[in-house]
Amino acid sequence: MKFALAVHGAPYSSQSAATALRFARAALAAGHTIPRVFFYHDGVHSACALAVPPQDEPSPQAGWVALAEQHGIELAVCIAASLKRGVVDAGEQHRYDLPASNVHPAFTVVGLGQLLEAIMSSDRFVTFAA
Amino acid sequence: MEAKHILFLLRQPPYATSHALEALEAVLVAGVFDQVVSVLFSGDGVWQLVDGQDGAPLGQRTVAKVAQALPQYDVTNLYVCARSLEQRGLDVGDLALPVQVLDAVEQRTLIAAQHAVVND
Amino acid sequence: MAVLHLVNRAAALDACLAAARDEDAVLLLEDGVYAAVAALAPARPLHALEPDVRARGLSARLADHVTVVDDAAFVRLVEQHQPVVSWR
Repeated sequence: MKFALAVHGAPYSSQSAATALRFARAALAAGHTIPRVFFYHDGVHSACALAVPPQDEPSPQAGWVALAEQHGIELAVCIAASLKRGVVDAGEQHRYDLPASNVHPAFTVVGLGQLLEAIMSSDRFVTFAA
Repeated sequence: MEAKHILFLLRQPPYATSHALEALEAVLVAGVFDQVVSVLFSGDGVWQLVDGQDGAPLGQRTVAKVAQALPQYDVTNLYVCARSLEQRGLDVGDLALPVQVLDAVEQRTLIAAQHAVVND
Repeated sequence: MAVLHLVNRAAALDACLAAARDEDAVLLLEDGVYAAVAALAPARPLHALEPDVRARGLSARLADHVTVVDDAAFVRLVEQHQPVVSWR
C-alpha cells in the first residue's frame, strides 16, 4: 500500500515526529511505500538542520534523513508554515534577504497543494497530531 | 483519478495557536482540487465559527472571516457537532456562517464515508 | 470499511468514542495511553501502543480488555481500516 503521513508537532514539545518516524520504519519494513511525509504546523521544525540533540539521545532528524535516503521518501515542509517559524531554505533566504538558511538538504520546501496531492495519490493517510 | 472524500476534522480553538488558521488554509487549498471536501467543526473547534470575532486586538486575522470564505472555494459541506454546540451553550444563531448541525450518528456516518481525514 | 481512531491524549477519548461506531478500532498512543489504565479505561475494545505504554510504566496497570500492540501491529491496523482519524 501507499501511505501518506502528516507530522504536526515539533520535536521536544510533542511526540508527533517521533511516533511518525517509528510508524514509517514499521510500514516500510512491512513492504509499504511512503512517497511523501508532509510536515505542517509546528512539524516544520523537524527540517531545521541546526538542532544539536544531547549526545546520549538519538537525533530525530537523522532518523528521517536516513529513512528518506534509503527509501526515496520526500520530506516535504510546508512553505507557509515554515517561513513564519524561521525554517528557511537557501531559495527563501535569498528571496527575503535573510541572514541565514537552516533547512536540511534532505527536506524540500513545498506548497500546501502537495499535502492534498499526497492524500489523493495514497491508499491511507495518517495524521500524527500535536 | 476518482475524486476522494476528504474530511477536515477541526477541533482546536482559534487564536492561542496557529492550528485553526493553518488548518483552514489547508481546507481552502483542498477546495481547488476537485475532491469531495467536507469540514466538521467539533469540540473547541466550534469556537472558530462563533460570531463577533475580531482578531485585530491580537494582531491576527479573524478566523471566522477565513471560515466564511470556504464556500467561495467550493467547500460547501460544512458541519458542526451538535453536542459540542450544546455543551458550550451555543446554537446555529451564534455562528458566523451557515453550517449543518450533525448528531453523533450522522458524524459517525460522515467519518466512515471518507477516504482520508485531516486533523488540525 | 471500519475506521481507525488514534487518540494521543487521554482527555480526547470521550470525543473520539462519541464519534466511533462499535466496529471501529481505537488505538491509544502517546499520552493517550493513560486512558488505558484499569481505573480509567472505558468498557469497549481498545488498543494501546506498546512503546508508549512501556515508557510510561503502565504495562502492569492496564485494563484487562486493552490489547497492547507494537509498531508493526499499528501498521496492520492502518492497512485494515479507512479512514484513520486523529483525536487530540
